[in-house]
Amino acid sequence: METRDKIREKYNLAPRNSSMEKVKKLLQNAKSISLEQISAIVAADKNLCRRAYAIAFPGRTDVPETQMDAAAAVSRVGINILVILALGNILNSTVIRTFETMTQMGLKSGNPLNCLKSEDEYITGCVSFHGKANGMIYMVFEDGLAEKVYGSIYGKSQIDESQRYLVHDTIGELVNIIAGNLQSNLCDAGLDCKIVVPSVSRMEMSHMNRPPGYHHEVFVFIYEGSPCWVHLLVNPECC
Amino acid sequence: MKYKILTSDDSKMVRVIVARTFSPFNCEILEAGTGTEALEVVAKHSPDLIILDITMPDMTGLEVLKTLRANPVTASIPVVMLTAESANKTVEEADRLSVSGYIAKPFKPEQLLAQVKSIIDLQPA
Repeated sequence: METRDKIREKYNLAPRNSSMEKVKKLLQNAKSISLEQISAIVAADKNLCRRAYAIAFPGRTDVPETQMDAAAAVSRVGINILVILALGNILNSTVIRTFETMTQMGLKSGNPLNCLKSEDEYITGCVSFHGKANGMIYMVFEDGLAEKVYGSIYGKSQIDESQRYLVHDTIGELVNIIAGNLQSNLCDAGLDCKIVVPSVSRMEMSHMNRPPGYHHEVFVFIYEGSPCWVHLLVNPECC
Repeated sequence: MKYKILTSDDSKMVRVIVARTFSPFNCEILEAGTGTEALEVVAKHSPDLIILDITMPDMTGLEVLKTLRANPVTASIPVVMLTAESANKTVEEADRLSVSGYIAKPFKPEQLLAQVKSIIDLQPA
């Protein structure tokens, strides 16, 4: 067993998940790995394959999973986008686990087509990461869901206005946990980066910082009918 | 014996969860929202155990830990890291600084309680 594995075991820290191993494999072998080998990695992960296919062939939404050509998708999207898609898998499972553990709220993945109205204001938490990987994570909440999150921690169904900062603190910590997990996975894959302290504000989605060229993925989660959106923006050049 | 436990985290939410976790026990919970504040509380109250976050606004938890270890008065205080950062390099650095435990967020209160109970003999209040 490697020393690193022993230290993780010493502190009962979970081993890295399979999506992470895929990212690592893709990054470590980016220059020498063949298209067939990459396609085999992608084909073995249905979720990754489906998302790569959707980006490669945006018009072909009716193709059954069994008929998706992983090699064709890989050759179209390229290794950098595949790495980001694999990161998206990690993000997706981390969001669900974070809410389950910290707030006892069982979120379910929703339909990404359930879009925000860009002119509306939402409570938005943001954490950016900088280094060999650069990007940012936004978590966007409708007021009602943000209040439910606050209620799950403080046991109150209504927010006293003087305590509204606690809603922001709670959202900030949740996005910090999610970004911290992603950053840890990036570092272990060889993309050392640091995260900054989260910021939380009310904002219109049209004011979200979308640096040109960054790959942008949106995940939707639903709790008791209320949606929460998680935006992952990553500079593909660093991957 | 009434133990003093310091929770240092910039998030009130985490400090509330920590305080709630230990409320059934005979201990006093001290709170700090920044690394600097944590060092001030340590100097003033000499806690028996510290639960320490890494990402904080002024000093990181690892910087706080280094400062504690460099001072003979505070060098042997048990520290449990409670943080979202769990990259191998970070865990190794904390290990070199002799942490007593490392818990990755998101965490379950019972995980934290078990870790702390393995270090100090907490008794019901």
